[in-house]
Amino acid sequence: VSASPQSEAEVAALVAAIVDPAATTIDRDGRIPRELIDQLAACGWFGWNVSPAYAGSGHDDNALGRRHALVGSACSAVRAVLTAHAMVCAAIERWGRDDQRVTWLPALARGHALGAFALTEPEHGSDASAIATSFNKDKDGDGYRISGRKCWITGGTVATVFVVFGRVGDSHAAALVPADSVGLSIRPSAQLHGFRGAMVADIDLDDVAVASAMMLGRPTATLSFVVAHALELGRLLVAWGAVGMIRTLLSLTLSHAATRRQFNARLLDHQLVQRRIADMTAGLRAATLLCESASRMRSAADPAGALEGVVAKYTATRAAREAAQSTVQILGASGLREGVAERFLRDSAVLELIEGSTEISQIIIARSAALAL
Amino acid sequence: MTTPVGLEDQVYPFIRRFAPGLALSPDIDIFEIGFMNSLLAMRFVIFIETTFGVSIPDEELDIDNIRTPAAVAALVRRLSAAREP
Repeated sequence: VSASPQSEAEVAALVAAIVDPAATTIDRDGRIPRELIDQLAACGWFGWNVSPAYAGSGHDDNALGRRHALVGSACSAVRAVLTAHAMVCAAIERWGRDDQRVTWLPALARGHALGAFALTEPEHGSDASAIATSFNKDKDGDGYRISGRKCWITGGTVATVFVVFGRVGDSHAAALVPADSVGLSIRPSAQLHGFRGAMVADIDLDDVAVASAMMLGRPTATLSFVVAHALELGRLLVAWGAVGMIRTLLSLTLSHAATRRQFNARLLDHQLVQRRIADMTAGLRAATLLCESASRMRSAADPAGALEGVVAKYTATRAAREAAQSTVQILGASGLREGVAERFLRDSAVLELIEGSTEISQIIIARSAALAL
Repeated sequence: MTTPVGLEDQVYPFIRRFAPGLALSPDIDIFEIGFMNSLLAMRFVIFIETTFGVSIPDEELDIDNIRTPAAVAALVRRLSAAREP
């Protein structure tokens, strides 16, 4: 790991030098090359939100988010794997015990260990509090035995440790489960429309023994605080990733529209094209400001930050989807050739589903609006 | 530095941010009002820690300890006492 954390400009330069050129191949192959992961790890990218005390760079939410926007502007898969990893780091640092922090955080921050967040199940997606994975008291030891199935776990095929969520009786619980645990099996999920390089996995847990020292936080009556806290961060970083995508799409659209001529005029001078560019520009501005606001509120522990994060994610991911559609519409057939426009068109569809779908976001936003009457 | 527990000026404003019109009392069940969800319950825990300068240990992380403003006050007093003998 570098002696001092990389500046934002250094991150941007590395994105341009090694992430952006690899993005199409990552999407086509359905995996991020190990060498790329190792290079990013050596530059400290996996420790962005881990405290310096545990070998991380300790960025606040805004600095972290801006970095995820830079990565997201080039490759959603790398951004998604970093986001899932950041969620695991945040969960351990905020809710873990001292020995768990000391054991796991330096390895995670250095990228020697990769984290993944195992919440979703085949029968339980948006309704996460209904998850069925069971934690049963181990008859022989002081820990638990976990059985259940998880699916669509980002970074799952390369993770070394999972945060697995389930239930102990009527309560919710979370545990750190190493990927090489006996009874845990991992296989790649069915190929997705977008996020193809995010190494998404389905995981079966068959009576996996977990010592009590691996439990993360205490079982609680509501959905685990660990889930809520990590999802809040994930939602914010997904929103920042969308900001990065819109930036790329807008710049691609503008350079095409400024040079391509049809009907004796640049595309840029056609008013229906201008409308799309105006919407992309305004959408980018709105998404960026909401992400900044939600990041500041989260770092300041402002209770209203939870809602601001939902509004930011809702706005940014919808704007990214619309921007991708506009880019393809303006680029015409060339926008549908393998490349960033068509890739972001597919990836942006995924953005509207994960970390609180557009519809779940609408419900949360509308309910809170009604309560404020 | 531990801040003295103030329901009126510290816990109630948190609730009012989400349910401004609600008449509040020390024993109102925050989880029955309708604004509380798992996200906000987690935020509430972090809010209590930040506002009152305490750290809520695992064994105290129980919904019943934050269910009412009075329970929050009792929790903060308990944690402050444990920290400053």
